[in-house]
Amino acid sequence: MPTTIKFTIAQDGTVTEEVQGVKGTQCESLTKTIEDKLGIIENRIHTPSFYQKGEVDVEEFTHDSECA
Amino acid sequence: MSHFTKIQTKLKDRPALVEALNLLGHFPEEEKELKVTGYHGKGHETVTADIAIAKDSGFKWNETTGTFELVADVQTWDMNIPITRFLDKLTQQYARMLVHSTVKEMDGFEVQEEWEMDNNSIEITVTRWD
Repeated sequence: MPTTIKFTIAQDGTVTEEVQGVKGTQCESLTKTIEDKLGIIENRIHTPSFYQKGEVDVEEFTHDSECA
Repeated sequence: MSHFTKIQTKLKDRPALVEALNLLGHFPEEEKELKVTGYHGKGHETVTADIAIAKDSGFKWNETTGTFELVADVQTWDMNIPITRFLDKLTQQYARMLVHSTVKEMDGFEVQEEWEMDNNSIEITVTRWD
């Protein structure tokens, strides 16, 4: 499964970053470099897969080490 | 899906800032003295810009905030867009340059696609195949 990061850069330069398909604990460290370079984090939303650990029907997201 | 993060972009990286200025048609001079109109339109203050884009506008590094700040003379601003719009456009291109240069340093990642959307936002998708 590929790891995908989608950056949406708004007209005023604000960046929204959406990470998909990251396994293990590398999830936040993966994007930390770019976040530090860009500026200040306004907010971060962990998507539902994080809270449904172990009970999601999508296999890729059921692993214990899944990061969200 | 793992997370969504919203980041407020700050002009911190000099090469990315210069590249973004180039993209908008400005070829800055470094370490130049600017003449900007003083308070109440009287006299001219002199400010040394780290990156100058005109005789009266440029960017100065602010040690406290760790960012480059625009120094401009509102009275003589002669670009065809307002100052705030100019800064927004510049910040957008700056973020774009920074995403590209950082992705190059990220092991295994490549830019998959880049789109300019109807609402003038830019979408860059990067992928790594494990």
